[in-house]
Amino acid sequence: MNIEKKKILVVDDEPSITRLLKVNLEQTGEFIVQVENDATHAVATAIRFRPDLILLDVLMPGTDGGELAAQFQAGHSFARIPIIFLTAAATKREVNSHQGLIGGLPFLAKPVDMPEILKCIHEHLATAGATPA
Amino acid sequence: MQTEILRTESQHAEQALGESQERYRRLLAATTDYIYTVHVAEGRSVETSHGPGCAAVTGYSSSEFTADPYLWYRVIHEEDREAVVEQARRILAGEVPPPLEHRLVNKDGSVRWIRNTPIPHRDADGHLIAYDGLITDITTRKHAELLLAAEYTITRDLTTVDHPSEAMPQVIEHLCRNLFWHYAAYWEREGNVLRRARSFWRSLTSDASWESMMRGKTLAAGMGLPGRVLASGEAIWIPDLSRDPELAREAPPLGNGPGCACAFPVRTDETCHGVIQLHCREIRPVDERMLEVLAALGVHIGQFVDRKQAAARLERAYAQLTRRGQILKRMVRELHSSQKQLRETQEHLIQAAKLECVGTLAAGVAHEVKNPLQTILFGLHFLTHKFATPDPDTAQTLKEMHEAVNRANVIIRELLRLSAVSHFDRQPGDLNELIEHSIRLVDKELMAAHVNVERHLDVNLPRVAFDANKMEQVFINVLLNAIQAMPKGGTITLTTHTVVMNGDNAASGPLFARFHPHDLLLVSEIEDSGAGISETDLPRVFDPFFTTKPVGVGTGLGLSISRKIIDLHGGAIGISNRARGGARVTVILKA
Repeated sequence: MNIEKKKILVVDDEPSITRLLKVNLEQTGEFIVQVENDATHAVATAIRFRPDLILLDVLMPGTDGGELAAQFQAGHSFARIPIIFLTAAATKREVNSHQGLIGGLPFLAKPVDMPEILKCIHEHLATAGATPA
Repeated sequence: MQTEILRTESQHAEQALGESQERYRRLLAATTDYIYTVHVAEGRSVETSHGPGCAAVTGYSSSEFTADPYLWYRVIHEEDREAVVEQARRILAGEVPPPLEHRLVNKDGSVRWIRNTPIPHRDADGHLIAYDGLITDITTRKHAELLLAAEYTITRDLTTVDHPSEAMPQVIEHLCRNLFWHYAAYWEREGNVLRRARSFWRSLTSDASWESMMRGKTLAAGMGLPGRVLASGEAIWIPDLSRDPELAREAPPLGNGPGCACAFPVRTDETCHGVIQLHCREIRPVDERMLEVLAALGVHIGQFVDRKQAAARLERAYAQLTRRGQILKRMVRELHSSQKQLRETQEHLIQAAKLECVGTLAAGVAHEVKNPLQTILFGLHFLTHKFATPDPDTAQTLKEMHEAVNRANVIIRELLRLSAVSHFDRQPGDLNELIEHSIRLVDKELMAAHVNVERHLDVNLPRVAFDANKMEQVFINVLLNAIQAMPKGGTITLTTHTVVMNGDNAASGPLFARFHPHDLLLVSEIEDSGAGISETDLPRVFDPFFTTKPVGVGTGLGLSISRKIIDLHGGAIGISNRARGGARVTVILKA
């Protein structure tokens, strides 16, 4: 079963958020979660961890989430890995009015309930899995 | 003897008659200036004799009258001849007419007033054999009388008009008629010159070419008779103009010769307003009394002109004052109104500033608040799983915490929405349709609260540009407020109609203050049948975070956001209480 667990990288500067998200996600038994609170190390961590999906905060000190996403997508090994933004900078209404996408990437407005996050993760893992590598 | 006696008696009688006639003549001589006698035969005058006194009155001697049988007629002033002839006719017809006052023209050309009292003589059978004319020179008394009459008439003229220029035609006419002048003119003073303003011709037709030459003619001081009067300030009398060639040239053509002229100033002590000039075609010796009266009349008229001018000035000043008063009143009114408008604008600005401040603040803190909320939410999720079968207290605690996060999140969201209202997208649309759509969106709430909706929507409402999403937000806000104001059910009445600023009485009140005349306005009214809003709350309903709803039901931002949206549309929104209960929200958009 362990083999089937998906690896999720959570990048957010708030340790309390990353810790609880990790606990909650792993509690489902579906995921292995690696957290990174320093955005500048995010790429290095991703290379080491090789995630199946990345949850990314948009507003972080030092690095902008959008930029980071661009770096991931530019790197050959991460180009096809789904990225989901978690942002406090937008409201649910704004998210909905953009069909849940920022720059073509899905995003969730903070504060967001776990069921919603899980639903979004499942959707995008499924899309990535269905796409031939 | 008998014959002797008879002759003696006859002689006595004749002597007595002679004495009696002599007494009569002496008596008459004492009371009259002269007597003329007209002998009559068969009802016609056959011979006239003038008594010796005639020379003093007429300038002609008795023998001159005897030598010229028509002289008696010629000495009568031509204007009075008709009356004298009529008097003679009546005497010859057997009547005893009353004394006649008329004028004679003296040999020297001067005019004399006489009273002519006829005394008929008849024979034993009653046939008229002669009549006497008792002539008394009444020139002095007559002049005094005429002057008095003239003074009276002219004084009356002055009292019956409003303006000196209206009085002048009458004044000169009455001077001519009452004092027997043939021509009169009024010269009005304009600065240093006199301008001929008015003229009057008595018992003569005016000479058209002379009149047109004189119309508006000006004279400098010293020039002509009026000019001399202006220069001297005194009344002047020229008995015989033929002795003054300069003046004779200027004299009006009255026939015969230049005649007599007199002129006097219309003046007060300070100013000369003009000169009145009088002419007659006869020679007229200086009449000191008339000159005096004319000079006094001149002052009288002058004072009248002064008074009228002063009154006119006063009236003008009063009118101006009244006008200024009205202007002042209007200015005060306008000032009050703009003050009121200013106060409203100020309040509005304060509201807007508050809103802006809240919006800016909200955008700033939202991020900072959302992260902790996220932590709590994740924490709650974790705990919920941790207590798979929690005791009721724990379950309740977790539930309430979850709700608290949601509530906090709603407030943050509303605040962000407030700060996000600044840009919007306006498209022409149908306001009625938008209202209908808004009603559909709150359908569930309407049903739950047992609230009916009554519509009075004007089907001819013009299309107007608005941001449909944001306007919908406004109507939903207002509708939800209305529903929440009627927890036991009720009716919402929705009305739309148009009004034209200043054209409709309905377009008044502070809400309309920001619009301009002729603006076409779309007015929507949303009324509920709830309890209304207390007078103390009414001014604060648009304040951010002001709410009368229970904690957790409202954020207190709905109306703040609504007002901001309506402001951005250049419209107006207001709340009032209906007279029959409930609240009324009025939304105005400019077409």
